[in-house]
Amino acid sequence: MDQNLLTWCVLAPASFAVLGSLCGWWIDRKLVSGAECQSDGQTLSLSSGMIACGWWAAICAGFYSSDSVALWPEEAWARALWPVLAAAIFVSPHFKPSGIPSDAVFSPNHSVRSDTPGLWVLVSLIAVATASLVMPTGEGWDDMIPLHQPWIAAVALATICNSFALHRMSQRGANRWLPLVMLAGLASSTLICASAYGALAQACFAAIVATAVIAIFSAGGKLLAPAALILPCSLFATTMIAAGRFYSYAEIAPGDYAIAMFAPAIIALVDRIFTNKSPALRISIAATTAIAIVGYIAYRFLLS
Amino acid sequence: MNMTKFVGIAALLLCICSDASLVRAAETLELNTDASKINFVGKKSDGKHEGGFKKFTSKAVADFEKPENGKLEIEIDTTSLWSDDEKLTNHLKNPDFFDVRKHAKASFKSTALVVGEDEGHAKIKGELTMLGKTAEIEVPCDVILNEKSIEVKATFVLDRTRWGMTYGEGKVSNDVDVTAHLVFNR
Repeated sequence: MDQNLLTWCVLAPASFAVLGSLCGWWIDRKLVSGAECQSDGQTLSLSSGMIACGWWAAICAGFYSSDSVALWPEEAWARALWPVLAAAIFVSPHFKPSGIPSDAVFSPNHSVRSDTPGLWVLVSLIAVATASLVMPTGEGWDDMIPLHQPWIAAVALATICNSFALHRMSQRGANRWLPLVMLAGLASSTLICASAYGALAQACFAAIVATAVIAIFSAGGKLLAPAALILPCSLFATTMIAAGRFYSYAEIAPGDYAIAMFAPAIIALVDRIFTNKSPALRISIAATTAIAIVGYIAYRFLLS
Repeated sequence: MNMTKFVGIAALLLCICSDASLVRAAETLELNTDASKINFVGKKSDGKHEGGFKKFTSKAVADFEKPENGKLEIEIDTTSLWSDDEKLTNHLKNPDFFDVRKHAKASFKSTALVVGEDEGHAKIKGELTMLGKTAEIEVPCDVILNEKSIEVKATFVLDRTRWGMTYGEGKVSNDVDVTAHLVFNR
């Protein structure tokens, strides 16, 4: 593998994700012992923020691999970095478990309850703002301007739907394996980006590596709030798919983009049917659905 | 690639010596776009791909008395890029390579024309502007002079990284083989 890719799309993202996860785990342990924090809520917010910020630092490394990190990047897609950071800092901590007794902290099926109407207003605002920010403009993009409004709407809608669906899924006892579902969304965006523009694919790949690391921590029961990744991850995946569309000259059916954008929501919807079944069965069905979606996207965007 | 046209001018001068009926002092040449081609071959570790540009224009002046005064300008519409693979064409148009939305034009402007010792051979020196960067290149050409046309053929190698096209270094060869066949009506 190319040294630049190995360093900035694999090793650095993995390191940042490990760091964020370890910080989150360490803070979660304090929650278990019940000592130094004023309340469980504050501790969990801090834990969620650490995980989300570690994940953001990881995708930052991916952006850096193509020199796309700047306060105001020339390439519109690279501006997604900042709203994703804002989501990680200000919104992710609200996706937290609450009212959990200390002895249930590492239970795989603990519930996550934090969805106030205000949270979803915030999610909607940040989704629309991010989508508006990443639409490419300027000389050379004039022919694409008619696509801006539909794509802003699509990115915002997909982000909200995916976040809501994943949040509900975590409430249904899937919190521990939630990052695996997020991986399916990121895999779809990576495939679309890989068919168009290397820098986009590199950023997506870094996100996959970071999410996979957090998924391992989460599956091992080491993280209380992997749901912290719900918004940053949904926002990032849909934004990259939109960017992939704008850098594509191929004729792709809008329905194919829709399947990729709503992949996490589709998986969550299928999982809804099997809520009362065993975790093993639910994971198997979710994995099968994810493989079917990612396989279809790979076929449509890379192989056909 | 387009530099070849300059070479053609030089060659014309040489030809004048052998066939006065074909020669006038200075002549503005009109590019036959249907007959002209600018193509390239990119190589990678496991193969190679052909490509080119469908649309380009050129302004050329041949001075048969003083060949070194010949001029050639070529403007390439990079959005007309094609390749032997549809997905590759898509990728080549993006910022990893030609970034055609930001840099829709590439251009060549000659700065000197050197007539070779052998008849029908010349070198065109000039500036190639691509991706917003300008670099000097030198192109050897063969020139064929007819009553109705002047054909300039050039095959040369460009190092793409000189214009900041660095994507895939190590996997995709930096050297790109360029072939230009320019036909000018007289």
